[in-house]
Amino acid sequence: MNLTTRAQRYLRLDLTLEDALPTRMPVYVNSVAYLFGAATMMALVMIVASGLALALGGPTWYHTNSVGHFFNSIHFWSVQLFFLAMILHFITKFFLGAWRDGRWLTWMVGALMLGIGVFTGLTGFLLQSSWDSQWIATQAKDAMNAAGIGAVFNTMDAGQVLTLHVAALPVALLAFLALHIFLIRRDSPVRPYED
Amino acid sequence: MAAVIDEHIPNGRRAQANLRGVPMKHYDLLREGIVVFVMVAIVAIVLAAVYGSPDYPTISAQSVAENQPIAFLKTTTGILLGNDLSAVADYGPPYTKDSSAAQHLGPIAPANWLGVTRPIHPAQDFVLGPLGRVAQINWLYAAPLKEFKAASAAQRRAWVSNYDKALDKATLSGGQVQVPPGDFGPVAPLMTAMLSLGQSGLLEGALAAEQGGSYYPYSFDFTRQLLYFANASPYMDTATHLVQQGNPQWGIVHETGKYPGAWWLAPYQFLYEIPQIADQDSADLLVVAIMTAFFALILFLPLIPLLNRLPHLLKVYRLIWWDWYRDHAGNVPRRGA
Repeated sequence: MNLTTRAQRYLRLDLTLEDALPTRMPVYVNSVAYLFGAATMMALVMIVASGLALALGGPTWYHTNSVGHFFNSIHFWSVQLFFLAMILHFITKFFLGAWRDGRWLTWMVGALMLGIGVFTGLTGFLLQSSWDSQWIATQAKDAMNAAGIGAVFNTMDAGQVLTLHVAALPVALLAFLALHIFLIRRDSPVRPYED
Repeated sequence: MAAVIDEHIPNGRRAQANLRGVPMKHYDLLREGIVVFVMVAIVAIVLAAVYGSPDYPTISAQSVAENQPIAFLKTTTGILLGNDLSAVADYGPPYTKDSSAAQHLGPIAPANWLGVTRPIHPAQDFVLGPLGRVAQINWLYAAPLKEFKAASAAQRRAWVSNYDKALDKATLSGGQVQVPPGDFGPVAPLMTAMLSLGQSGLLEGALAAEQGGSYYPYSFDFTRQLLYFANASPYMDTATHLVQQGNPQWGIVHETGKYPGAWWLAPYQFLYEIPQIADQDSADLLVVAIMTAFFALILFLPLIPLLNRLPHLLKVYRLIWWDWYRDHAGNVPRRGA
């Protein structure tokens, strides 16, 4: 069977252009609560953009450069906005029962992104190469080591923390994000509870 | 009642089944995305411009040696004695081969599964190795070091222990540490050597050189440099001084100064504030187990029988969909009808 034909058929039947780029929404998509997911994603865009700016100069240039410090500050506050929006998004989706009618995978992928986001944030805080990094590294190591993860993930190995933070974890996060958005667009917003 | 809008491009099968009979309204995904992006970007940039970000300088061995020389020496003797000031003594995997030291829940001790993957021999790696390098620079330290290494383990321990106790009565005079006399063997000059190494700013370099390896100097692993003072008062004092709550255990959730830290880790950190958990020998593993269970609850929520009906029972959704229930709910066919 032609794989490309199968892919085409799938898109034609289950992810049309209107699904992917909607020009209509059901009227029950009515509230600012529906913007938290988008806000989370846009905060992530700011994180990646400012992170790229930081990456251009290496892991410590922003300590002694005012432009670098500004990008570091954007990165720092974008992370705060990311988690704030993500928590609000999570709470909203919980109260709306958004996993209903076959959307359980969307929910689970979102939960995985929460977990990956937390680890990406941890590696980011470890990369500050400041007093805070020293403290967080030497404190967090105990939980990692006790759980056996410390045999593989070393909070004090700045090289490993860096490559995880700028490569491995963002790739994982973005892959799950793509899946999350694919599922959301394919399934359309969950209907209100039938009372 | 909103008019049903003529379709130009139909939805896919799932969306069609979900939205059959549901009134629709105009929507512009890209415009909404751009608006949300601009709002988020403005907030982030304004916060960055107004508040900046935390950037508190590190605590180096040099800053400890210069500002807290007695604490520096207590930490060094602590490493040799393997007491509470040593971050590695009695730790077990992944640093040392003491499998009984690994935290466990019943028979389960995950730290032992992969064992010692980052071996550290504290006395040699943190103290005796660097002292050997000092002795190469200043040959006056070669003889005391040789004497110390040639002594029996019990003799070495006695000398270091005596010096460690004497440090409790040490004073600072003209920048010099004055230790009351005692039976220290060659330990006193060796500790002077370590303090000089610290004050010169070369301790971290010596620790890196001890790790060495075929690809030295390319190492980005600061395990030893960070572990040297990890349990010691310089770190603890600084944490207490800096952290908002005044409690070092909250340090992982807070950043220096008035900046928010990783507040999303508060549930994890909160568990350490419960004495029944925090006082356990395996507190860290217990906290990880609880957080893993908590995460599993979140992850598998759609599949967990009573939990997945909680939103329906709580009825908070009626606040968000209030206009749907007022205007449309009674008129729209059930899904799948």
